Amino acid sequence: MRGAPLIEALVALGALLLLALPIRELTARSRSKPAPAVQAAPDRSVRLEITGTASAFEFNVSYLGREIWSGTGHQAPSHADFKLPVPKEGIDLEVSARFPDASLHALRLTFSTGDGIGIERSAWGTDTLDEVLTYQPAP
Amino acid sequence: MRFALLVCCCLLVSKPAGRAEAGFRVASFSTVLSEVAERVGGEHVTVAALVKPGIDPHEYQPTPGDLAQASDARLILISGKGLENYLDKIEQVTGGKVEVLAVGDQLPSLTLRPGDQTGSAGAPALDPHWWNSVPNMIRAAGVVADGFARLDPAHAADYERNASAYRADLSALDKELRRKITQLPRDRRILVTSHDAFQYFAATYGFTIASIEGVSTETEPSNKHVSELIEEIKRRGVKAIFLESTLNPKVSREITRETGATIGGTLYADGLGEADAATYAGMMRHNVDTIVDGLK
Repeated sequence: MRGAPLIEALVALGALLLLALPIRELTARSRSKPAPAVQAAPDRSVRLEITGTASAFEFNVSYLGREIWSGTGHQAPSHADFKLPVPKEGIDLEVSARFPDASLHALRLTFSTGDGIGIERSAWGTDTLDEVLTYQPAP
Repeated sequence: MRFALLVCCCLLVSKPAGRAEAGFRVASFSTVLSEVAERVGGEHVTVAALVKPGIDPHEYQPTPGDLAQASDARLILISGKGLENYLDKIEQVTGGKVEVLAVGDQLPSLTLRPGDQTGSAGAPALDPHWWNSVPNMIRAAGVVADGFARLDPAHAADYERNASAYRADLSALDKELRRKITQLPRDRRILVTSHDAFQYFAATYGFTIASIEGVSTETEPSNKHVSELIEEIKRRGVKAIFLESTLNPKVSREITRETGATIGGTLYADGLGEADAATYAGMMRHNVDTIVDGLK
């Protein structure tokens, strides 16, 4: 004796629908994990010292896109102290300067941390200067 | 037989008659070098840009029409460092009568990282993606200018003047990119990309890199490599990973699901693209903006 095909089909469909939810839960990809926490480098005491070949020049220094120091530099060194996040990979400082005339001038920016180790970087320019100076500890 | 067919095809694809062209013809198999040739050659050079923007140069194979244009040229520009695996076809069609200038071969090289393919006789293969460093492009302008001057000494001064102007633009671009990158602390300069195309970029701008595939886009990453990469991304807290304009993003998206990193955007690794990446400066600005904004 043959059963009613329509009823059999409906029973099969019902069974599939009942199984659909647990199968989906088992086979679905895991949800996205939360974004990884990025640990900021610890703040360290930093001293910057600037000197130049011009008797007076305007300068500013930026770190991570933010101006941290500006003023008038001279042939005699000027310095300022900061608390900055300094990763072991080193830092980049963006330095801009405006010199009093169009002849070739240089400036030197020294970076030192509390451990007394100083790293010197120099840049040259005529009239104006805009450089990125990189300070990396010796390996 | 195959060679005879190729030659026949080349002969059938004839150059349009009566087209007015300036100076000598250069065929370029690199989107980036097409720009260099146009800027350096100026009015004295007609450039046939055979590899179009958005084409993956690792998978590109020249058509009979491309080979016909190459054999019509006086100079063929290629990226070099082993990128073009179809050099033999060019040489067959040109019969060695057209000079091939492999620009990258005259620039400093980085070798592929361990695990990537090796060159002939087991020697480390060279990374061919030299254009992702602006200082390399500055050098490339000089290489192309020298090549043009050798073929056309009457206009050597023009080529050098054009190259100087182009180099000045590239130097300004390099400074602009460096300023943008200073917004990113050095400990966050970790670049995870689809394939290993950013070693020169990383060396120039202070990044470390981890790639999903090797240097070629033709190989699939192994499960072991992907697992190690996921662990590294978690360990170093990488915020974003980057897709590439010519590659399938499937594995990258899987990695973001496992690590919680986001997709930082799409980079142009293998040459110029469309819209804002249609020029070299635009391509580099797009890449640097995408990377810095993604990792900040």
